[in-house]
Amino acid sequence: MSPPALLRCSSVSLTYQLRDKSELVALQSMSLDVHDKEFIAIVGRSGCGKSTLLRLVSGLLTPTSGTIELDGKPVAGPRDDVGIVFQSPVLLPWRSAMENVLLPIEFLKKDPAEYQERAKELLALVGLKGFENGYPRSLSGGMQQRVSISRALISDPRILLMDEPFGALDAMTREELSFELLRIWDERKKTVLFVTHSISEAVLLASRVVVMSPRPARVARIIDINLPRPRTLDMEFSDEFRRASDEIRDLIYSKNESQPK
Amino acid sequence: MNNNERIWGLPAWVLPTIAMIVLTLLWEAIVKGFSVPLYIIPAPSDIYKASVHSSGSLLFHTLITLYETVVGFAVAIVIGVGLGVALIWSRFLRETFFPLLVVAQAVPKVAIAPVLLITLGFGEMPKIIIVFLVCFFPIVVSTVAGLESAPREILDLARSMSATTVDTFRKVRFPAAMPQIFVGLKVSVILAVIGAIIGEFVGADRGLGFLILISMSQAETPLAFGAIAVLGVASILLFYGVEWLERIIVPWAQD
Repeated sequence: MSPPALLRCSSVSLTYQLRDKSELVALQSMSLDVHDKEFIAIVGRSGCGKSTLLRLVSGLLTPTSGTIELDGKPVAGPRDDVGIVFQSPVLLPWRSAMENVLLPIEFLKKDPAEYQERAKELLALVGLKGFENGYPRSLSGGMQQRVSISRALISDPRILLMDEPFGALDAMTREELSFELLRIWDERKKTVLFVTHSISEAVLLASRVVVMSPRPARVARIIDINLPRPRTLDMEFSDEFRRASDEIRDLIYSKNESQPK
Repeated sequence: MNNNERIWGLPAWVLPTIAMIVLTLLWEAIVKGFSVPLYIIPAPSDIYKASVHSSGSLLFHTLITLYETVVGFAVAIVIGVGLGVALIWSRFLRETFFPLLVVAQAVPKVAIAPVLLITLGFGEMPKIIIVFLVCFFPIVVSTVAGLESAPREILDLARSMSATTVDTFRKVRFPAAMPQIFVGLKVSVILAVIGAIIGEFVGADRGLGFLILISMSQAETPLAFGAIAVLGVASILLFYGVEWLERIIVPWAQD
């Protein structure tokens, strides 16, 4: 059948101890297999543990129970083969685009000089050729997010974790960047975990959409998106797009609303 | 926020300068017009005459006060920023010393001045220490606030890359703190001058604070006013000096 999963989450739970000794279940018994070079979107309402999942995979959080394996090895503590893109670009304003892209390399104690060419090439990949020496405040929001995508790719990670990366952008920039992300994903053969609260964005980009239900957060259903690649904007009018979107919408709204606590 | 549109198209300094000239002339006219005695309120022209007449001693005392201010301020920067970094670095230090700092800050420095004078004598040292004490707290607080202002995502990124604490401070936290640190520096450079004058008021045989006291006691009010004017100019220059440094060190913090 299919090759072994690149990322395997088995009954992962995360419980926070609150100050008054009560517990908050941020994620309950989540299981998910992500294959190499897959594009997975994760949707759900705010507070349903989407970002928690990304923090777990990146090793910033440790699960209370369950295991996360990346490439057959358990995730224990921070690791350098994941690239992270946040909702806001969070570039350092005193560094040029180039220097921002090279920041992870410096954190990893590698020689930035050896990565200059790669950084340049990655900036070209995201359409920022010629802006290498520009400072963040001279770049638009969309351009800044492009820089932050380059920064996530600089250490050549196996898996790209994106936490609502286009959520802060205007609708047009958002669409433009979405398709560029697909192009990059296709060119670079990365595995992408893409958290979003836009159903249409999830369906249009992903091969599978993980729908999460809130409180306690767990996987409500994983939906396959059978749209051909390369994806185009007019697929939004296809039957498959409508079917998938409706299914996700039903899961997120009606069903959970009526669920007793 | 658009400062490019100036009133009547004039540069920013023109209107305040005109206002100052008008106020000075008004002062001159009132004092001369009502024949106010020189020792009560001197006219600007009298102050100018007295200052020029005693320019040598005015310069001498100014240099003394500037020396106390700048040295105390510099020591406060080194120790204040250093302590701020230490407080963020170690939770143990933070929880142990931060409350003490707040308590220490609550004690009025003016009250400490006479005590310091007895302990350390008459020289410049007690003044430098008072300057240090008044400047220190705002610098520590702004450093701590600045170091904490580093974006959480970047700190996460650093952690996910297993970056060393030194690298995280050097490459992220410290530069991110610079704009805030400069806010503290601008507040405390003005306090520094006040600290030096307080020290000199309590007991000194030189410095502008001493000059003001001695001139007043000898009914040489115009010279006292001259010393006050020099003090004002020195404060402004020091403030703009810090601002100039800020523009060089943190060019990204503009606008």
